[in-house]
Amino acid sequence: MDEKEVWSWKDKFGDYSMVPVPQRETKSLLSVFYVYMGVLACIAVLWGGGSLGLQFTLKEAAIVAVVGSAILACIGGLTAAIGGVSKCSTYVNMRYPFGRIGSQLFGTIIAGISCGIGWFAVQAWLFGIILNTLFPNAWWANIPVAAVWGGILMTTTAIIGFKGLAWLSYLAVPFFMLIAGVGAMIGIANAGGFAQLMNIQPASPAPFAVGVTQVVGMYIAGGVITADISRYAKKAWHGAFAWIIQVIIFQVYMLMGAVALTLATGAANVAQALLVGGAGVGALLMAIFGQWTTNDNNLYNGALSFATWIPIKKKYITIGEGVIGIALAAWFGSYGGASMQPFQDFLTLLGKILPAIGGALIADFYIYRWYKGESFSERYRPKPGMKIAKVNWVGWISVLLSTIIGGWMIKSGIAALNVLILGAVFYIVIAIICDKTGVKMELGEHTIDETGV
Amino acid sequence: MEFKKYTQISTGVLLILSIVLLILSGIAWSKNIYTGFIYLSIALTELIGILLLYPRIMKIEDKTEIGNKSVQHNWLILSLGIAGCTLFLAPFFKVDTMAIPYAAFAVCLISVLLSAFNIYNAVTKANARMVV
Repeated sequence: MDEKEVWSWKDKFGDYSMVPVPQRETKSLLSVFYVYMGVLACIAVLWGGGSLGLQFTLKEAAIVAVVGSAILACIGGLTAAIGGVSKCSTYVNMRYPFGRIGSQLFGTIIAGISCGIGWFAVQAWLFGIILNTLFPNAWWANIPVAAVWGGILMTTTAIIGFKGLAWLSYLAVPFFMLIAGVGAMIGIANAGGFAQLMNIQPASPAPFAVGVTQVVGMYIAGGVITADISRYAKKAWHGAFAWIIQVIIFQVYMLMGAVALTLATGAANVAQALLVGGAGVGALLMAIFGQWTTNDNNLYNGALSFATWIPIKKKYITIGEGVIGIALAAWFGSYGGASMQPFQDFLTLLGKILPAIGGALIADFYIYRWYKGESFSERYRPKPGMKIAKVNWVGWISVLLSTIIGGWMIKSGIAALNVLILGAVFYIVIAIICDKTGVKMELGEHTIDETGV
Repeated sequence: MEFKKYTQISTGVLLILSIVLLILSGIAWSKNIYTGFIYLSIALTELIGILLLYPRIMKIEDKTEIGNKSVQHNWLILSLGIAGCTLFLAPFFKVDTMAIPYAAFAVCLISVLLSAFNIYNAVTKANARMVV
């Protein structure tokens, strides 16, 4: 939104979930950076680093981490800039390449069910598992008990919205960065010095491409939905810049901290390795902050996607998601820490569709709109009374084809990247063919009202 | 007391605390380089974070604007202070004498309390935003 422009919307559902963020509510580059860092500062990233430490030497792991992070920086940078221009969430932006129904359907699949309920439950359960591993005899660290109080903490900041995520990130991110440094120092100290650490051979060596796939796959979901945060940025490029810096510098740093710890101790469970290595209460706080800062974002993103078709205040949607997620986590946890593997497999399956959606979104915004002669700053800028398609079949077909071909048929390369590139290529080729032949891409018509619906 | 004056004084106190931490990190470094590195990371980040606040508020007269800047820097000090409090008494940070970890813990605890109060003060007295 231009500063001088009159903000002609009504934020009926809260947190600007359906309407563009007004200029007066935008935040500094630092704030946006911190919230992205909050998502990154999670145990999953350290576990990802731990996994690299089991497969690569320190030097190889550094190359793998840099290459994987560079790919993520490109993808997330492109999607973040879309949010910076439109000031709308990913699911509202998706109305252009997929139509209104498409944005509701795909948004619900990738963010609502997958992040908001599924991964939220998995992470809350994992929170219980980690605390139980650290403090096996404490009643409050019993898996279902910890999953419940951890889930409540995570839900609380998500209910507050962007501000809640930012407060927590301000508090947790510098701490978490430091803990990654502690991990590296414990690793180097245990190995007997940096030179010795460099010479340690991994327990189960793996090819380079496998490592890059792991790094990209670990965070590609975050890379596709960056607009949810970048819409709050003061300038269009702020979100993209913040994303690129946090991935290229800080993700590599965190991964390498965990790699060093794992190479030296042989344990991929970073929290436990830290505790054994002597990090004390820091290991506990890392577990709490790490899961909290990531899982409140899962819930936040999920609620934004549900808000595209559930006409109630976003905070009630967040509460609903939180209750379901916590109940699922406690239920799994109460069966003696029963495996959630089938559930996680289902979520991974849903996650395969996400890069395809990102590909179509990037292709539509950057290439198709350029091809149609739309100016960059006017792309994806909704206005009350504007007409949008109910269904854009080109987006649907591109997602379907690229998910099937890239996700299951192509066996080489980085699966998530294959799907994303195919999604973009299919979208742009079909859209331009339609344009040249006069075939209509849009089916049905919907008028956006002042609440953004 | 004028808000700008208060911010400058409280920042000065935090600056002294971070210099004390820097001295402690030098001692820790001489005993155990790995432990010393973490001490140094905390001390230097705090020092730079605090030092940068001075030029940022020097020419500003608007109370809220000063408050907003103060909030940004004090969040950093608060987070690093908490990290210091949780880490310095842990086994990995033990150096020959426990006086150093306890002194570092005390410095961090004071930083946590003061920075938390600074944020509260900026929000209530200067109408600063907690999320800037």
